[in-house]
Amino acid sequence: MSEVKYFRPRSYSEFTDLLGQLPTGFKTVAGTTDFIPAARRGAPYPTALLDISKLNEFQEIKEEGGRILIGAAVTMADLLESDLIIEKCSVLASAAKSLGSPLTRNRATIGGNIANASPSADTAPVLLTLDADVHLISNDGLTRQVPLTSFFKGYKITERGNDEIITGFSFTTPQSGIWSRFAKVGQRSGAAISVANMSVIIDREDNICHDIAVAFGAVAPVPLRAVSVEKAAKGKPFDNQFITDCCEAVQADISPISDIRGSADYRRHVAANILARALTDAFA
Amino acid sequence: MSYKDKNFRIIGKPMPRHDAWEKVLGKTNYAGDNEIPGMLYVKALRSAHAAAKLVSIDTSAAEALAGVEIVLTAKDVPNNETVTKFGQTHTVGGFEGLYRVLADKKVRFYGEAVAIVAAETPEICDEALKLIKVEYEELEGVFDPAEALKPGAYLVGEDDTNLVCQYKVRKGNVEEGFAKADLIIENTYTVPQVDHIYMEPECGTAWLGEDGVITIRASTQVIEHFRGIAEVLGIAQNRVRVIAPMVGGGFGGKEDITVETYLALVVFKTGKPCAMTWTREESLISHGKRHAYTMEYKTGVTKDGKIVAQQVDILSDAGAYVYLSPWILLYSTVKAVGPYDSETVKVDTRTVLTNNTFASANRGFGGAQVCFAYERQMNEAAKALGMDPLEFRRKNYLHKGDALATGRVLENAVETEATGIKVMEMLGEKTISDKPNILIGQGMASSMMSYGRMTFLHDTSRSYVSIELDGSVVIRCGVQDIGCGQTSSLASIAAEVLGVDMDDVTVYFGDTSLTPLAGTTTATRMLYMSGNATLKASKAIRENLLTTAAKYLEVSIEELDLIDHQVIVESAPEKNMPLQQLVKICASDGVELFNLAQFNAPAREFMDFTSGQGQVFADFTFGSHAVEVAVNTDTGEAKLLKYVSCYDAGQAVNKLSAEGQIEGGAIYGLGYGMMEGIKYDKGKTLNPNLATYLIPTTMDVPEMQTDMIESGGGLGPFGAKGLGEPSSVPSAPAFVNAVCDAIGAPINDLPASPEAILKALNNK
Ligand SMILES: Cc1cc2nc3c(=O)[nH]c(=O)nc-3n(C[C@H](O)[C@H](O)[C@H](O)COP(=O)(O)OP(=O)(O)OC[C@H]3O[C@@H](n4cnc5c(N)ncnc54)[C@H](O)[C@@H]3O)c2cc1C
Repeated sequence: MSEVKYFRPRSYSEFTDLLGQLPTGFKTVAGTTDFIPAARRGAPYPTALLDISKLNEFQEIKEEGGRILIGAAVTMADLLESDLIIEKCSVLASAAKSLGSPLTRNRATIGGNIANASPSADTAPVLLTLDADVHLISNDGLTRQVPLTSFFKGYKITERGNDEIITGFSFTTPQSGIWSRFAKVGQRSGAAISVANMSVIIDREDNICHDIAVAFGAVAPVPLRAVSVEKAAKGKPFDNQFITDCCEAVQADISPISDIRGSADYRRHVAANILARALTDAFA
Repeated sequence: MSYKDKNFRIIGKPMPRHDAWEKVLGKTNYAGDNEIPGMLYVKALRSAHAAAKLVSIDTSAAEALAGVEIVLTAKDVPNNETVTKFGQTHTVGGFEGLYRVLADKKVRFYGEAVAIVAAETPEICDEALKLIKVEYEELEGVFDPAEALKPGAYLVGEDDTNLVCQYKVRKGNVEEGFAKADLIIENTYTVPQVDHIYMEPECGTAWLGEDGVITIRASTQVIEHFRGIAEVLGIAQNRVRVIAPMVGGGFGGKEDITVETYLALVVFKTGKPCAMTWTREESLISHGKRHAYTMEYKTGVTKDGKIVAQQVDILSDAGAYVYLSPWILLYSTVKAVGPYDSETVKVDTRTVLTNNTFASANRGFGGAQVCFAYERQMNEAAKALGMDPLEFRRKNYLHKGDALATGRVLENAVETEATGIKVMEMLGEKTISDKPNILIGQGMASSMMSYGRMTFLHDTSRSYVSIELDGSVVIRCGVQDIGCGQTSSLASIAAEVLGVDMDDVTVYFGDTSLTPLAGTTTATRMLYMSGNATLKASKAIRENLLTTAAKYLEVSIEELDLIDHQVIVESAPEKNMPLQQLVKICASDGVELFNLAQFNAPAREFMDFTSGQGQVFADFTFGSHAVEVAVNTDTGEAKLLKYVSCYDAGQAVNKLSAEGQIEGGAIYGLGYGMMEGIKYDKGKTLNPNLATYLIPTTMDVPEMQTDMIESGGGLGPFGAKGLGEPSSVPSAPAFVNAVCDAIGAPINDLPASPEAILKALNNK
């Protein structure tokens, strides 16, 4: 095994000083809950590891100018204990709570969850429905923001360049009064990888669906916004037809495969069922 | 309170285990915790094919790598072809299953060890494994036991058939039975291979002593494999010593040899100490699994709910080597119709080689598969009759004095009915669903499971007990403690009989050269066998102590007792004497303060294989589980709301340990019902890790309620029965019966995963 360089900056300034020195082929890691299992399965080691898990600025959750900002190194445990998240964006807290076990949640970061880009990543559908931006910095110091909706390019392929690091995420603080739900279907109750997951955010009044954002995971090569569902629902009154239309539309949005965790057929069924249940509950 | 008046101080009380704190604090030294200066690391090269001809193996590049000590293949093993034996005193020909230490000529399963490497570091081992060039010629293989039975099928081994063995049981004429039936219920049940998933994978170390003895310290349920290891090496049995420290879980998976022969071979060839630890992936692909079965059940019942005919056909997948398949199949054969009476019975069973990973012992030893089938069948029969499932069972439960289909009369306690009634009482009224997508269901299952080995094995155990000059007690007994409190139970027994506390007892265990051989920790036999041996030895010392005290104190022996470190004289308490003083008197008088006792289980000869008539087991443990589930109709997820179980434990030796066994067993069995199963693609394991092979977590089980009947009617010490295996057997059918009750549709294949449940709902 060749030697791997290891860097662990503790502050943003230490981090920016380091950027220029990173050798090509470096890899960013945080909780290593995806990295270590992959390495054990035989994934090649990078030339260097940049560990951002102790970088203070990346561990912050804050609200500024009507937007919520979440650092890349924020863990699932941080999210589900954050008053700001619980109060203003509980749907993200419930996704965080569903991920893995307490041990995993203490290490797993939101940056790692999105960078790893597994189709079943549990925070992905939530961030998609929140219209979040991904904040990136490259090793030459250039920063940019990319909407998450155009971040996932293909199975485990993202918009992020090899030399880019996710520094955090931001999104407009959800209005009070919206209805939201994160739903997860797994093979067991604890420490389960999603066979299908879904985030729904609805702005409704009386019986009318003014605005809606729906996203699914584990039912396509990438986590995705269910644009057909949104189109079918937006501005429509809630009734049986509404449910039927949305459930039909979702089949056009998703393209599940059969794998060790479940069949494509099962995924199609449950995607429609959890969507119908959410819509019914939202208007109940 | 004392042993004498049967009002026990320790037995039956909730006592913390004597080894609990060490374990909780992480101080217990397991097999994998041992490091020996200069030890080599051993790893195996595992076959990349399930069925292939081994054309050639070139190890030269691996041997040339710096840091590699030795590379071994089949040609280096003195006796590579061997059979599984379990140190039994009685030879039982056809029951010994061939296996190979390292693959030779032909590879039979994916993951079979082809070569082993010993090197200075684990990393060098990995490098060396990559340098071994194996030329395979892939063969078609056979992966389905039904296919493997067809004429012209691919032959897994060297014999001219894949059939390993078959049994039958006949009671009356089953056709006449069906003719009497008002209703006939016919179903096919399938259960997959499952793994044990002990927390501690297979591991151990080995070294050569100055005396030339090879010692292997390994995680095993059977230290008596020292005989088999000696045979592989071609050396005398007394040149091999096996030590089993505390084992981090066994569940039958460490009943066969795992790392021991590889370690012994490396020591034998190099003289150097070495260590081997399997990864979870290796463990999942290459050690024995619980057998997958296809079970066809046809049951005839009368309108008033009596079973008049049971016809059972079982096809078992033995996998790539025989190992314990014939024994396990015999267990299934005898238990095929469960704790129920039937006027006529016809059972036919077969086990067949395939190129899947071999199957062998797993908690229940053939009892869990058939329990799923017969208990699903009981529910389907009750449903067809429009009868309550418990009421139907109560019309058919066997009782003391009744005979099994094998003709064997149940002469000991049979409290199945009482446990069935109890669990349904504990379960209570069905919860009412408050959500449109939640269906609630209840289900139960009862089971009979043997404890103790098959009587034709002529099983024995030995235990040595002694009392030291200060009144403290030592036990030496070759038990393997696999986490169920095997050693702690022995401490309770000696402490009770000798009037001391559990803390006063030290148990030396699991060492073939220092502790008297006690047999395997398998077959729910340890409390029964070694408990009886320890009781016998303790009683002999008690007898010596009290005889001496009677003489010395000039009172009759009937008046004496041993309580709380004192010799008690009932008629004259002023004569009471500290135990320590009595021990000193005995010592100076030359009275023996030790005893080595042997307990022999009741022995029988083989059953009659043409009719299946005869006695195979000494006794059975009976019990029931009941479950309430909430099924989510959107997703098929089944959440357990309540879980209750009740057993006739005979006599709980330690109440806390017994409850722990019952709860742990229930969860073990739940995995079988809810989610477990090895998935194969032509013999290649598709889920060889814990991310894809799932077992229940604490989030999947509710607070459990357990209850015990203590009939005192068992063959173990103080009338104890065994709980280890029995506690896990009825979980899967209880769970599935509850799910079927909730959704109103049958599920006859395990596991009843959310996907399977949703499918059953949609097909309704
Ligand atoms: C037992 C267990 C259970 C799990 N359960 C779930 C589950 O239920 N749901 C779920 O979604 N996931 C689950 N996971 C996967 C994993 O925990 C999550 O994806 C987690 O969020 C990853 O975060 P991390 O900080 O550990 O990432 P790491 O392992 O440190 O990194 C993951 C990947 O992202 C890259 N990366 C990390 N941070 C950055 C960054 N800031 N910039 C650029 N690249 C970066 C790394 O190079 C690596 O490729 C589970 C994992 C385990 C071990």
